Formats: sequence, C-alpha cells, structure tokens
Amino acid sequence: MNYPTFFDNTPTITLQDPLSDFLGTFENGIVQFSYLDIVKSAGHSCPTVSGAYLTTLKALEALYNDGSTPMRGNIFVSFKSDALEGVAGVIANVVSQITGATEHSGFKGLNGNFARNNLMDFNAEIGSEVIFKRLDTGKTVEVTYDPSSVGGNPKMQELMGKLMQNVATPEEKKEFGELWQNRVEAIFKQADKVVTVKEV
Amino acid sequence: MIMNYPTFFKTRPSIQLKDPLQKFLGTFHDGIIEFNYLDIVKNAGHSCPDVTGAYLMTLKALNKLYKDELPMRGNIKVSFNKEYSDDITSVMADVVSHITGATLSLGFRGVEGKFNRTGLIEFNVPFEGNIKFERVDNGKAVTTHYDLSSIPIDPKQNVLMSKVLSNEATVGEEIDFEVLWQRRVEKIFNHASELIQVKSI
Repeated sequence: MNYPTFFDNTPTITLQDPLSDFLGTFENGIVQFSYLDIVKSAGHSCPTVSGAYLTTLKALEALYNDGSTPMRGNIFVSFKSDALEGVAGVIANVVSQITGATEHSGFKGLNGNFARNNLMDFNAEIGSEVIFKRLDTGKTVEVTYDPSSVGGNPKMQELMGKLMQNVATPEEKKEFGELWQNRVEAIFKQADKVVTVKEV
Repeated sequence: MIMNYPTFFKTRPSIQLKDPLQKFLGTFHDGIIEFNYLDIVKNAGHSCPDVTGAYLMTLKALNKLYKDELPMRGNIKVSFNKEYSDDITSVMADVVSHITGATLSLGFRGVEGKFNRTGLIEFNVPFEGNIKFERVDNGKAVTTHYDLSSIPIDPKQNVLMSKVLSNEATVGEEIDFEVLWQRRVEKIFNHASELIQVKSI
C-alpha cells in the first residue's frame, strides 16, 4: 500500500473507548486514528475528507481542553444538511469512524451502556454546518470549514475533465492525482485558517 | 498515550482490495488498499465475535468471488436478511461497509456517474445465511454462514461479565474477563475455516 507521505505526518486523534476497555480490546480504552485510517475507509483523500478529519480534530480539542481524553460514545454530532445531500454522508462517515457516533447503525449497548446509535442527527437547526456536543458536560462547539483560501492548481480542472472523458495520458492521470493531493496537503498545513471552532 | 491491544489483532490475514476512486484521486498509488483486523476494531470500538465474524465472512466471500484477482471496492453489493436496526446486523454492516466501501446511503455519491458508493447495502433481503455478497460486474453471488456453536463460551466469562457490568468486579476479575473474551475471539480466528461456510448461489 503506497500513498503520499503526508498521510503519515498529519496529527493523529487519540480517544478513549469505554466499550473497548470493557471487552479487553484496547488497554484503558485508548484508541488512535490517523488520516490514513480515515482515507482507507472513505476510499479516497479529498478536501471533504480532510476537512471532516480536521473538523473532528479541532472540535475534540476544544471540547476536551480540560485535559481529559475525548470519549467515544460521549459525543453527539448534529449536521445542518440532510444526510442524502451532496457530501454530507461522506463527512458523517468520517466523523462517525472517529467518534463512534452513529445515527442508526453501530452498537446498541449493553445494559444501557456503550450505545453508539442515536448520537448523530441531520437537518438540525444550527448556526454552522456541524456542531459537536459533549454529553457529560453539555459543552457544545460549532465548527466551520472553509478551504476556499487554499487554491488548487488551475491545471487540475482541465486534467480532471480529460480523465472523466477517458482521454488523459498516463502522465496526465498521475499529474492530476499529485496536484489533487498537493491541495489536500496544503489544507492540512493551513488547518488553523480553514477550520473555525466557536463555543456555543 | 499509547494504543495497546492483543497481538493477534495485527497478525491475522489482512484484506487487500483495489479502489478505482483512490487511483483516480492519487490517494493510493495503483489504488491498492489493505485492511487488517485492527483497522476494523478501531472503528467498531471493540473486538467481539460479531465483529470478527463480519471480518472473516468478508475475507472469505471476497476470496471466493475474486479468486486470484484483487476485489474491487464499489463493485460489491451486500445484503442482510434482517432489519438495519437489528443490533448484530448493524454492527456487521458497519464492518462490511468499512472494508468494501459499500454503503446504504451515507457514502460518496460519485463523480459523473462513476465511483458511487451508496445503494450498495440492502437490508431485509430473504436468503439463507448471514451475509450475501454480489459482484456488480458479473452478478456472481455468495452467501456466508457463520456458526459459532463449536466455540463455547467459558462459563466463567458470563459470571465475570455480569460482575463487571454491575460494578462488582475486582480489578483482577475485570482483567480475567477481558482475557477470556479476547481469547474466544482469537479462537474464532484459529477455527475460521470450520466456522464459516461460503456458498455460491
């Protein structure tokens, strides 16, 4: 499995999962996700997937700035858009993979503990595209992701058109992939500018 | 903080697939992607017989459907015979989705008709077995059958589990429970070929 090196150099996200602790899966329930984990599951790396990753990272940093470790199953996520709209599902899958929160799927719990469903909703009346809420403290943050300041190479559009029409040469295909991932890498480098977190 | 886990999570057969979307977007060179049991456990938040079963059923179904070729993400349709709201079904569906890329509705919707990952999982489909896998390109389909009855639960495990759940377990008992639980999961891996049948349909 070969991939751009920045997949391994981006900040990881560490959480605690009480279910995994209970079942002897991870010692003290400590589980860590990297951008590579998310990309594998999503099937691709793109500004939407990296945005969802950074959104989750920054939201958890803000929610757990009291020194505690983010807790899977203790995080409720609401989206403004409908689950079937545009890229909402792609974003939701990334957030779900990291936080464990699901709308309907996932573990339904044991004696009232460890449930992972009913932790996500869509079509929420909220001030930003997505909000994250800690269920133990009620602390809530709005997150906005806007990568428009990170311009892509103008050649990308032209190359993408060629690829979609199956008229691109192998070199053009390779170049397109590289330019595409360069932009994703640039988004990671500008993470503090493209993601805004506000406590509400 | 370091992530520690039983060693068998990483030593079990991994699953390699091709993902045309990956290749298109320069994500993985050649579009080859690999999942191991640890990847799945992280996402599921735990390792248990259902998660293991779903992992092994996917592995064996893809072997049968693709023989020596690499399975293709986005080209695999998955069916379950129960409701999405059924606990075991949704845990298993998440595992299969993670590996094959197939989703019910929450996935990539495609670029100009290509690479769509939605509408590839169905529920409430009548068939015999646990999971049905179908290749979209040639219609070849298999059902997988998972039978755990030959791997009994250590009677101590259930006693310890209720103690842990009611917060009456000592630290030692908690650890005993965790070890017994994961030992059974490891046994399932060791006996995978007896526990899982894959049938062409």
